[in-house]
Amino acid sequence: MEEQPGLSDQYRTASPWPVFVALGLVLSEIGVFIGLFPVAVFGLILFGGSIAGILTESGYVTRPWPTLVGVGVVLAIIAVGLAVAYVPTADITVANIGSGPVLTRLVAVAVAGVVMVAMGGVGSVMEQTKV
Amino acid sequence: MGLFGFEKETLLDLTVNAIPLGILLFFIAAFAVVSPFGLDPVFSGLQFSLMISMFLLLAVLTYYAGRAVEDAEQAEEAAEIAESDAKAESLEDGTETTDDEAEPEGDDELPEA
Amino acid sequence: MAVGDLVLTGLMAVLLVGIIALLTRIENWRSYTPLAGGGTATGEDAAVLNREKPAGIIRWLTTVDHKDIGLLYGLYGIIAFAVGGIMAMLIRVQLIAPGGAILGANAYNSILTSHGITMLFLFGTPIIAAFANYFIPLLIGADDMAFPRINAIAFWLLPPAALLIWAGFFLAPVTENMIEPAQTAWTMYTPLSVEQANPGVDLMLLGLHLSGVAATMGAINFIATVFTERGEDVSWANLDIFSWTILTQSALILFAFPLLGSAIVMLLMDRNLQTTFFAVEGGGPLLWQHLFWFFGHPEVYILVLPPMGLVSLILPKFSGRKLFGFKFVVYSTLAIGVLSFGVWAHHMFSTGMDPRLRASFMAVSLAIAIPSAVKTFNWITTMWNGRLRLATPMLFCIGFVANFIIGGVTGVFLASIPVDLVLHDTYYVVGHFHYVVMGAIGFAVFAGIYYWFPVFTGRMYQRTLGKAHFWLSMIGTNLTFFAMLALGYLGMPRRYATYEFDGAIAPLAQVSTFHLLATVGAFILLVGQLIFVWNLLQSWLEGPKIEDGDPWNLERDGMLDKEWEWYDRKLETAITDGGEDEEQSALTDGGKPKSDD
Repeated sequence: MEEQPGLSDQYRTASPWPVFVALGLVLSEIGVFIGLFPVAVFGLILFGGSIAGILTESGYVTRPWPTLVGVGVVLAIIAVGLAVAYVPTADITVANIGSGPVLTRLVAVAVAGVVMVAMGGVGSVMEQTKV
Repeated sequence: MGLFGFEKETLLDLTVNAIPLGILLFFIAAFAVVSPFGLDPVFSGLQFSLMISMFLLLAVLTYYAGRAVEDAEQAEEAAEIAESDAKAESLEDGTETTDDEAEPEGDDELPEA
Repeated sequence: MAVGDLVLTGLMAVLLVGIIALLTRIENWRSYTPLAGGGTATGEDAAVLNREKPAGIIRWLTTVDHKDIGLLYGLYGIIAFAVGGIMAMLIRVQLIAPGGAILGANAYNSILTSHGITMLFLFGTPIIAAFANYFIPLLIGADDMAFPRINAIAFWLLPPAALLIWAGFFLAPVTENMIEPAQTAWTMYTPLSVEQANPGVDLMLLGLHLSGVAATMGAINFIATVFTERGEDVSWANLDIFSWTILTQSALILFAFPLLGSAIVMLLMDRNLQTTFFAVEGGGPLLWQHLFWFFGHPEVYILVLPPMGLVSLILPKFSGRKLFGFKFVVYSTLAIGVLSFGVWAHHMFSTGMDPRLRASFMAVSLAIAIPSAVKTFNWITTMWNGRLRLATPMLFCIGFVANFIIGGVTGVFLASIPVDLVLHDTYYVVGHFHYVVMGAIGFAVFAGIYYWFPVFTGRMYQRTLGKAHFWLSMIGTNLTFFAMLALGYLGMPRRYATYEFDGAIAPLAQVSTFHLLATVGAFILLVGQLIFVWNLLQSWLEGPKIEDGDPWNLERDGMLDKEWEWYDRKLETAITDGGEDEEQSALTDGGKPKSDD
């Protein structure tokens, strides 16, 4: 497996990531703005993952996992910050998720952020234990 | 020569932007002299700041574009002179004779023109 | 609802797992070797790689080569042109009869909206990016764009953007008209665009936002490329005219499109999150018009400057003379770039703005007419006493100049407040800007396609079909849009699906006649474009092969540009070693292009 070169190693002017960065951005925008919870979460994960991938591939970072964690943390902070700033504290309850237009979207962003942090963490741990 | 530190040919090229600048200047002056709608601190202020800011922006951009082009030309000329000191004399003649042309940069420097 | 969410979640999960599976199949991210300096992997040390790009569909999906991306942009632009053109035909057929021939009012409004947005954002901007991507690196002697991957991302944002903008048309039959196409007109004026509850408007706005993101990414890339990637022999003094116009256009995009993006986000929030940016109790509906046109007027120049560059590049080649007053064209391009940000409210003269403000916008609008006129005189003077060769690209260039004069002069009248107050929102305005967008921008695009057809395809197009395309386009354009100017003088308002007004208000018989003429012109245009597409496809597949790198015989006048020199080298290397290979010989003059397919 390791010996088999990837597409972007094999060919100088090819990279699989741009399509998925674009697709991730599209899905996240649709999900967040239209308010489709699953689309928002998966779109943001795809977006963050592709950013981690493309940065690694082009050599700006050495491993993708810290980037993934970083994007996740940024998204979670933005979501929590906006929730604290704009949603009345009394309304922030589990039962209210799905009813308020703002809260549901922020929860989607936060969930995506948390999932990315988890994925980044697991990936990094698995990689270290393997090697 | 030497208006704003430009060579004569560059100044000639830059006249193209002096025309819109002149039109703007004309309207600034005209609206300052004749104001049929009266003067109002907010709207007259916006009116003049719009025209004056456009005038300044265009003047500044024209200046820097002219500077960039002229510097590049001079660098090229200097390189050519350094390349062939013997021909330096004739090269100067060449630039002198092109003064009256609209396109004084010479043929070999502009593959596009 | 819960079931729907569940299905959606499942769908998304399958999609994500599929993507990861695909990626692990084709890509090995354990093998990435850190590059010093990061960025592009296009350095000298790339020799270890055996080939340029994979084969088949994977090549096009994964390419970061500027030429491939340019071709993708071109294909995309031509498809969008076809879609927008069909929409235009529907509009024209509808207006044959005063009561409307084929469409209901809602369908008409949807098609009118999508026609405008498709032509401006999905055809105009991308087709320019197609030429710029392909030729800017070649013209300035760069290896590739400054950021090849961002270049690819910018392109791949566009197909989803198009699908979102057209989403209403696909979804209306499926959702029983719950989601309809937007009916806001391309200007999306509030309060109408806030009040339309239709989710199709949201989808369109998102699509527009994404296309704006794509354009901005592209613009940053072009600016970085022209500033940093120029070959050693290319300086500000001999930068070609097309690169100058693309540089100016990119600067305009950089200032204009983010503003459109923000305004669209504000509109989306007004629609979905009950904010009041454009409500009467908030910023007011006029705020939208100011924001929109602060973007919208530079957008006009974003669309027209690069085509002007194309004409300035191509027209001298077939005149046997160098472009008259090259520096005039450069400086006037920059002047247009600056002044275009000070004219936006001339679209709003009839909104009841303060007359002093209107006056200043009129002043700047009149000033911006000069740089455009300067270029027109330069083109005419270039042809003067030249050895004209009326090949198809040249015909389109001359057509550009002719149509641009009519489009431009009608614009000067509209810039004058008293005239505008009479003609505002009539077909005169429609005729004016169609003379520019179709008669000028469209023609320059055709000129570019024909001029570089050999570079794109290695073959020559069919001359007779090319000339037929030109004459049909020229006659069709002038018939259609001149009729519109006349309609405007008769007082026919824009955007209406029907025009069954009282004959006492306006001469209905004449209005119908001119509408009929415009439709006849549109059909002539349609036939021309069908010939164009046929010519493109057939010549691509079986046109005569190009033997040398100078099909236009430019060498004779010493006007062979870098892109043709590159093409010549490509032909030679392809003959000697079968192409494909990275190693090239005999690269003399600083340009170090990569050979590809």
